[in-house]
Amino acid sequence: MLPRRAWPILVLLLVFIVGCGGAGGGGATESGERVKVAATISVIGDLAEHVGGDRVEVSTIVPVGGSPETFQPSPRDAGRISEARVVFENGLGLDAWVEDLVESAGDENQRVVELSAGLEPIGVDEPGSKKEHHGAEDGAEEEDEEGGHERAGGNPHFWLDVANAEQYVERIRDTLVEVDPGGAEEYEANAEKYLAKLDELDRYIKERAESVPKERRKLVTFHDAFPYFAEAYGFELVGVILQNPDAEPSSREVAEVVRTIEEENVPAVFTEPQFNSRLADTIAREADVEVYELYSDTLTENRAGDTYLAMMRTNIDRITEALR
Amino acid sequence: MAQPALEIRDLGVAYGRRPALVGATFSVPRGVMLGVVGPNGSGKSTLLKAVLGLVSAERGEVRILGRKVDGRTRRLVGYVPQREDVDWNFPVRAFDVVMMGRVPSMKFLRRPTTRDKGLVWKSLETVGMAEFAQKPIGEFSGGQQQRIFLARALAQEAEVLLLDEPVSGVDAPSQDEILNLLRGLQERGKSVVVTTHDLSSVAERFELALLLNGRVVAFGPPGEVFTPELLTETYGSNLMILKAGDRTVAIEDGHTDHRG
Amino acid sequence: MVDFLVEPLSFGFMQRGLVASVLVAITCGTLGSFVVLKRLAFIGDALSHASFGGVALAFVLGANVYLGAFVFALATALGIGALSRRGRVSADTAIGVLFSGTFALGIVLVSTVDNYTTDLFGYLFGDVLSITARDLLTITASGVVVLALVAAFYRQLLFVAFDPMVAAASGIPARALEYLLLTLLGVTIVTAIQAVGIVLVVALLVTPSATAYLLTRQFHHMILASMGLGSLSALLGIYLSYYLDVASGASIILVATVLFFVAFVSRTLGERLRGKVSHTT
Repeated sequence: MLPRRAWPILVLLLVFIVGCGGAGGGGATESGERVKVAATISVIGDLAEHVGGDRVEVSTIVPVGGSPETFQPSPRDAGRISEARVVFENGLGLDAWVEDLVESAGDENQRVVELSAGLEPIGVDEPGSKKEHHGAEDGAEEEDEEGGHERAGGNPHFWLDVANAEQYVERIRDTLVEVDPGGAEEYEANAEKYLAKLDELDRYIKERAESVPKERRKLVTFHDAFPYFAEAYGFELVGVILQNPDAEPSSREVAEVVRTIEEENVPAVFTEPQFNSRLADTIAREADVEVYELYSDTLTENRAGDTYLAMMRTNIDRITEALR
Repeated sequence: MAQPALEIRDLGVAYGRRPALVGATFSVPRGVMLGVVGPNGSGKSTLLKAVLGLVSAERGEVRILGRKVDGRTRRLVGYVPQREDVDWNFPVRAFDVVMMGRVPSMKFLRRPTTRDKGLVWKSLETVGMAEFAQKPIGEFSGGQQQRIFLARALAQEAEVLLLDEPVSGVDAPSQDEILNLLRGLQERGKSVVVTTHDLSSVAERFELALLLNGRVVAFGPPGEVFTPELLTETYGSNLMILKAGDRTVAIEDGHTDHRG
Repeated sequence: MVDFLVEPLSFGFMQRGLVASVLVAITCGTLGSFVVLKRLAFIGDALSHASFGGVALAFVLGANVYLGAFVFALATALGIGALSRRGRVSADTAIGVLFSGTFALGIVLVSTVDNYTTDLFGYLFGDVLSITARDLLTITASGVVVLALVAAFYRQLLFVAFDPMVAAASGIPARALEYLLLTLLGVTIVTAIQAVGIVLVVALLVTPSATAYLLTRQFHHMILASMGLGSLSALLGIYLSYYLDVASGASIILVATVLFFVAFVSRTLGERLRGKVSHTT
């Protein structure tokens, strides 16, 4: 065995090495090492991969299928943050936990980009007042002071309107170019190609949305993720099952959703995979309507939603099928 | 010749590594009163519990009324332990407690029959507690509680009664009453085994005495076994025997037993 | 007024939730009387928290969650018995260790299954709105079984609860009956979790029975009173949660607690007025 005095020195050495390894940010851009990028949610991760291509290595914090609102980061996630050269977060409360992570595990060389910054949010009002910015009529969305997404700042689910996703893509591109100027050409080419696909997606969605008769374009979603989608594509958000992602709705709230469905003649209720669908099943059974699954905060394992493009197409296809 | 009430052969009990009882052998005929005496820690309670199988014996054999100790024979043995072991908060009345004695005999669905109720009343009357049948068990004095538990053993229609220190900590009038009760039961053919510190009562009222000190020191009629030598062997140096008039008083170190 | 009573019941899920809560409260009232008198509240709490470990494990393995909950609860009950019988740790310690250990196992397992946190946390606080007709059937069936067994073995259970040593001495299978009681407790707890959740189950077991204890003098009256008080708490709790927009499981427990204090105060006042001394020695 080693002499006794060697141990404290070894321990100090170990701490030093780990400390150095932890700081210093992600991979350098020389000699083929990829830029390490951290994305809070898998949707953002997907966008980043399409812009960054082979020059980046994207790791996503919230795993596929997980819900960012109720997510609890683990030590491994802190590690991912500390290794990243760039951190892309959504902002507006969706991934608020990343602030603490960045503060404790990040470093000054890192770029932290809030992708929704500067975009005009829906639902920016004093707590308790009626929301004016909806393109839709308020169904069961009143009384959402604390909890829910309508906190000071507004609803964070921008990317469900393709136009906003395009803004995200542009910011991702600009950040990568700034951080890794050597790859500027590649990033711009990738972004251009991808933006074209997004334009096409936007047209597709509008087309399919129009195929649904106007009076049937009513959505009852599991949580309040679709106001931007509704506004952009001409739907009306009639009801939301889970006002507050942290707590179960009360029996009266559930009863009201059921009543709204019946009064507005909504033919279907939409769940999301990161939530337990029991509540939606109960409501659907009570109101005698169908249940369909939409994708919002996360991608999925299966092909219907494993990329942003797939997810948005699947969404509009299912909505069209449900409401027609 | 009927089977003896109790037959003990080479009974040994240990708690962990400490032997509480060693090589106990004796036979109790039916219809007698046996007083088990000895200092604290001599194994009196252990003996009773071992007979019933409530503590496990390392060796030895026990026969009750000639049979091995199983669920059926247990029904014939009424056990009245020292008072402390019961939950007095329980919402049960004296009547309910005595009715518990009928439970081992009840048929599957266990609804009390008229006969059951009759036995309960009779037992309560025998111990003189019938008028308090509706009172909650927690409201009785020590002596009264003892009598109610004795009534329960009677309601059980037990042939053999084992009572662990039924008169210690009980007021003097109740002590007398309890002993008279026991005598009355013995006269009706029951076999009664009592552990006690009260040497006088054993000397005066019991047919048989067992001197215990971790082992059987002596067994036989009190007149024969209550000798100074045997008593000293049982109690060690902790015993003072006083004769006051025609009463024998045993005063044990740390335990006083006064008879008036 | 009629409208007030009828409105929540116009929904199927409310009807089922109400019936389920009342059934659960009735079963808890029966077992709860034993729990209160035999001081099993800590064990009861341990069993319900252990269920969480079972739920999480069953979820990860893709098995039936209620089976998992029950197996874990039962294993914990046996574990408590085994650990404390060895003599080196007290029952209290054994319970504390197993209680937290199994619960922590549940939390660890949940953290590996990120996508369904809401699902599993529903078990912590109750999910009375999502009770299906099938769930109701299982709740009814287990309730019937528990009540039937308690009724069938009532006198023996009473004897063993009051005086376990003499019960065993007189030939009653005391150990087996104690295990029966713990098993029934496990079944009751696992069923009750659906209505009030793991964290509050012990309250549904203890509070109505504690209230009943204050109001009755005979054990079978205590059981009946617990059932009644529990049902009343369930009814009022569900209605309150509907009209006040608050969590249902917790509302039931709050009503039960208020009833307890009402009974406590009125009994203390009653005794003062009559100049009586407390009846427990």
